[in-house]
Amino acid sequence: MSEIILGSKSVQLLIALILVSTFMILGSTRLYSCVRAFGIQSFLLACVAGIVAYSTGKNDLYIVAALTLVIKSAVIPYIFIYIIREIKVKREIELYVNISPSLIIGGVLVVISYYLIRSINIMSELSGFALSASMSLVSIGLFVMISRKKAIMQMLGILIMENGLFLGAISLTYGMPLLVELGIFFDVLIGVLIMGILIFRINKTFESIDTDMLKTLIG
Amino acid sequence: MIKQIAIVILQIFIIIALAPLLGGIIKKIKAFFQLRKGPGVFQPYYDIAKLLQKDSVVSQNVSWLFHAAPIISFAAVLTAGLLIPIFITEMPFGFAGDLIAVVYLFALARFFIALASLDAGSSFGGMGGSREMFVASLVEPALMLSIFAVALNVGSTNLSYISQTVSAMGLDALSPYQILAFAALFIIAIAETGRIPIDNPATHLELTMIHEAMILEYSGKQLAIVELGAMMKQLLVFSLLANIFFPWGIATGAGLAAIFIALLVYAVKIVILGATMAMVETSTAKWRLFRLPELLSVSLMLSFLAIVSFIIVKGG
Amino acid sequence: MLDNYLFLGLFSFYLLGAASSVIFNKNDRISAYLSFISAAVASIFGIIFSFSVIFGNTFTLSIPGSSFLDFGFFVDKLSAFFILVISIAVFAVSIYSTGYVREYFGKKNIGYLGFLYNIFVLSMILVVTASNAIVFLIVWELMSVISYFLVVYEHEKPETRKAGFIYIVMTHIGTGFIILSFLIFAGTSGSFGFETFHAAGAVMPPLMKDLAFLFALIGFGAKAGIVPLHIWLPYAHPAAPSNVSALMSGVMIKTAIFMLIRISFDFLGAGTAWWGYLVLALGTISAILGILYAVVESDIKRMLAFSSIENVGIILIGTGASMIFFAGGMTTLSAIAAIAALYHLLNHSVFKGLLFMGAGSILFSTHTKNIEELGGLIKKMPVSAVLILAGVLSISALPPFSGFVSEWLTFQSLLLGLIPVFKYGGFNTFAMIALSISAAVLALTGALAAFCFLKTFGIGFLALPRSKHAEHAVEVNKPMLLGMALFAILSVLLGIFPFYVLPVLDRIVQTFVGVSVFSQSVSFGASGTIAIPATLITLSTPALLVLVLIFALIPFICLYIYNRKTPAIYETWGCGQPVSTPRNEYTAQAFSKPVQIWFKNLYRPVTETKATYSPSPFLKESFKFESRIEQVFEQYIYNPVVDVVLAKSRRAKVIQTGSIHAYLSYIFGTLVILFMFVIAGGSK
Repeated sequence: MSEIILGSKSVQLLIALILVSTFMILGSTRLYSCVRAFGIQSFLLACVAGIVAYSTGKNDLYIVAALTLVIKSAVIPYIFIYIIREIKVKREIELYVNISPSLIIGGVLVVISYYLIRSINIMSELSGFALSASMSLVSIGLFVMISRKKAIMQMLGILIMENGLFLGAISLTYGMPLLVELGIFFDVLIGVLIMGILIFRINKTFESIDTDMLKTLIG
Repeated sequence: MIKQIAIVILQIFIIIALAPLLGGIIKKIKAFFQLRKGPGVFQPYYDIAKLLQKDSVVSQNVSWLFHAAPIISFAAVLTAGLLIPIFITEMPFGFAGDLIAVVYLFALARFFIALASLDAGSSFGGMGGSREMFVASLVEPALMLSIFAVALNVGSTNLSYISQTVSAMGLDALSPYQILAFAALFIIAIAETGRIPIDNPATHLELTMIHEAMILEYSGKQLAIVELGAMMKQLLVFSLLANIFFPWGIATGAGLAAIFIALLVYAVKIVILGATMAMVETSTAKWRLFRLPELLSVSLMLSFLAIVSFIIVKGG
Repeated sequence: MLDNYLFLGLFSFYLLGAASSVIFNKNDRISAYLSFISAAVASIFGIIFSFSVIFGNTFTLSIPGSSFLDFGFFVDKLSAFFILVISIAVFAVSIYSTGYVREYFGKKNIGYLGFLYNIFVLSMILVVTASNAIVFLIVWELMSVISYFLVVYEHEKPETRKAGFIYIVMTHIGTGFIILSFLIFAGTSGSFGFETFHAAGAVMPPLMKDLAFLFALIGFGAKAGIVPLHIWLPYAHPAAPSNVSALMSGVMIKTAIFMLIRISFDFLGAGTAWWGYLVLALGTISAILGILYAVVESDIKRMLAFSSIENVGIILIGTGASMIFFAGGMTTLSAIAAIAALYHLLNHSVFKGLLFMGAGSILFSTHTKNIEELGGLIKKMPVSAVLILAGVLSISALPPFSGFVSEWLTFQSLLLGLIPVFKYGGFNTFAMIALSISAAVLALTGALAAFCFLKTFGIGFLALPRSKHAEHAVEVNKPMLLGMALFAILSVLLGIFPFYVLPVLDRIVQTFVGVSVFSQSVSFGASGTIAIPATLITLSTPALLVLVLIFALIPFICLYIYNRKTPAIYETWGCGQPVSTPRNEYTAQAFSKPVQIWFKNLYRPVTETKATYSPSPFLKESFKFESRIEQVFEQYIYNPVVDVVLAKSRRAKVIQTGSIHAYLSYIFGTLVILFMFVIAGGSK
């Protein structure tokens, strides 16, 4: 069953596009384009959820898809853009790892995720792609958090990880129970809001949202 | 035999005759996005006709290479044109080379123009030549990986076979690896045709341009040949994109009706690609030269992902 | 029987050349002609001999000697191919040399050069024909030592002596590992004959096999110039006389490839996949690093030396792919990859020979190797320029020249390794990823090679002369042109008619891979194409050439026949300023600057600027800009090792007291220990 839906051409194409958008985040040095790429990624994810909902006939998945669409591809990017605009942050991202090496590391992470998924042996031919993609999203999200200096990018990284988990959940079990899903959405939204407030505070304290500055807090 | 000759002649005719039109259409679409009126779509023809009327002025420092380069590079591009399926998959000269040979023919064309750029002894020429070869080296690994991704899917780098197979697959041909390879090749196409954000085809500031700086010393008829060569290359790169990834509608036999439909479909595909390119050009700014490795490593990783996703999807 | 005479002829003419050059040492001219012409004659014998072996039977010749040292020769098709490559190169280079050594007349000892040259070539022939490990090691050392003497031929220059030192040290490290590898074989087989090594390879335990392979890889890798054992090449090749560099770079480093193929395929059976991956990885790294260093180099001969590292890398990519396929049981693919590697080897010896001769010609007529001081040579040396351009186009892998065909074949063999995994079953994801990464790097290498040689030719030959040296350049003499022309023609022919050469290579590859791919999996020759029917891939360089020539007519007619006007001649455009001076030209360093910035982590460029101002701080009086790059391997690998060794040696120096009594007591001590050893052994 899983193979028919997740192996279907359209879902595979969407997942390929999700990977493209992830690499757009990795390969961009502009905050706006990162946020835009994240919005596109979430939109694609919502489409995946929609297709799965349609083909399994699980109505609660529609709600999840709609929530993804609204919260992740509209509200959260909007909050981001609002923050960027309000605190007049420099639009260039500062990096610990340069773009080209980051991209290559991203590629390596995808390969590693694939081998990981293959080794756990839950992969049938078709959903393996979705699982590998979700695993790579999680690892790339973590990598984004590690390698970018701006606090906003840390938020973005955690959201990419969340997207990856969501994709994984969909491809394994067609989504978690609605209640859990709703809880996660609420969490993410609140998380973003709190992080946003924190970023304002960081900005006020250090006149920058460079998380490197937090080092100065140690006693 | 006559059919074959007719196909060859038609293909040459399309490449030479329609190449300027594509440039004109892209400019027009770009003007539309920028809320300008813009020059007419036939403007490139007028430009070339004007240049052909004019005398050349040649630097006193140059050698025979400067005069030979436009001829060789024009011929190399046109030869590549006979290996690329335009409207029919059964190309009479398809046996002469595959996708990799096309890449190297383009390299031959570029090599001679870049050599000529150094011949006049001007710094601008050298700058242009150096940057052109730099961008070409950036492109090459991604290009080769996307070729590999395409070849993996189809099982060959023979261009007519690729078009035929993908066309026969219909919508089934749309697969993650195709999409990733297409995204990679699209970025490469931007670089190969010298468009924003890699190079600005409309610039007239010597310090910022790549291709234009390289051919700065050419004038008159020679410039016409060089410009036409560049336009032909642009058309051919677009044709490659169109007929490798979306070859639907291409004629597989030499029937008149099929060829007619194929030509129409081809025109539509090229215009759509041109419009996409114009959209990209309008919405982005030209990148600094030393940020280009970043853009092209995106393309490299996408083509690598194409291969990886092929492996994942086909299971291992 | 004929083979015997041919082999003898080859042998005796080299010896004759060596002897005559010494006998007529008094007269430079006669000595030069005799030695180089007899080398050329000997190489004709070599060419005929190798063809007769390739199309005939294996040739063996054993000279009865002591039981310990079985002095014999063994020439199978693989050896014959290398004799062919050596002989072709020697033929052209010898003709070139008769002209080139005029530079040294009256200044240097020509007889000495002629003697070393002949013996050097002979030693290379012996290396690929030796049938016994001991004999092999002797001739291998002979080759190394003679080439050392050739490298330090211009020993009055201190940098040449340094180059020679680095070369001799690296090559001896290599020889040490080769001896280790041979000892492992001999330990199993109980004999030093190569024919017993083959049998030994089959019965050795896997660990021993791995060790033998690794030692051989390190030992021969040092000679072939695999990164990180490559550091001697950029010193030794520029230091040697150019005709010798052509041979060293064109063929000597290939003898190491010969032994690698022989040991891994013939002796060890190439059954282990990771060897193939290791060779592939080393080849890929050598290719990219070699060309990256070549791009930023402005000494022509150093640049060519780095480019040799790159090309050895490409050859090893083919070899490594072949080993991977062989270990995976895909013998057809293995054969195709091996053919690609051997074809690139042949092509490289031709175009690199040509380019080194070209560098020699530039040196001959301008007395500088620095391209920043050249320029405008295309007008001063028109024939050389065309010939060198042929080499440049060939090494840049542009169609329809020879480098293109072999690089194309290498790409196809990597690609074929990816495709069959789903066409013929068997899905090795690791191989797919490794091969595609290697292909991407190879593509980058090819593009950078084009960049590098475009820079060299463009800066060196075009525009205005940048110095007095280049201004006074004149065309080189006829023998030099003839030598270069032979190779230029050959590199065009090898590009246009590969299908006459590839079947020959197929026969050679068949001897160690075991299958013939000709006309089943690959067809060469049908209507002038190379075709791989399994994937429907075809390539026809003659067709490409004809098409390019026909299409060249269109712009040609448009420019020169229809409505013809002579172009007006005017100054180069300089934004309205009169700038037509060499000082305004783009420099080689500026040309390669983008690559230098792109790979700044590798090059670690050090730049210094010094400006003096007068009278106001806005007017620069003089400005000096200096930039150099770091040789990472020397800096971070070799120098620390050298430092440690030197420090240890200094400490060990305390035992060198200078007192004769101390030395005698050392001998006595050793003797006692030896006695103990014998006693301990005897009591067992």
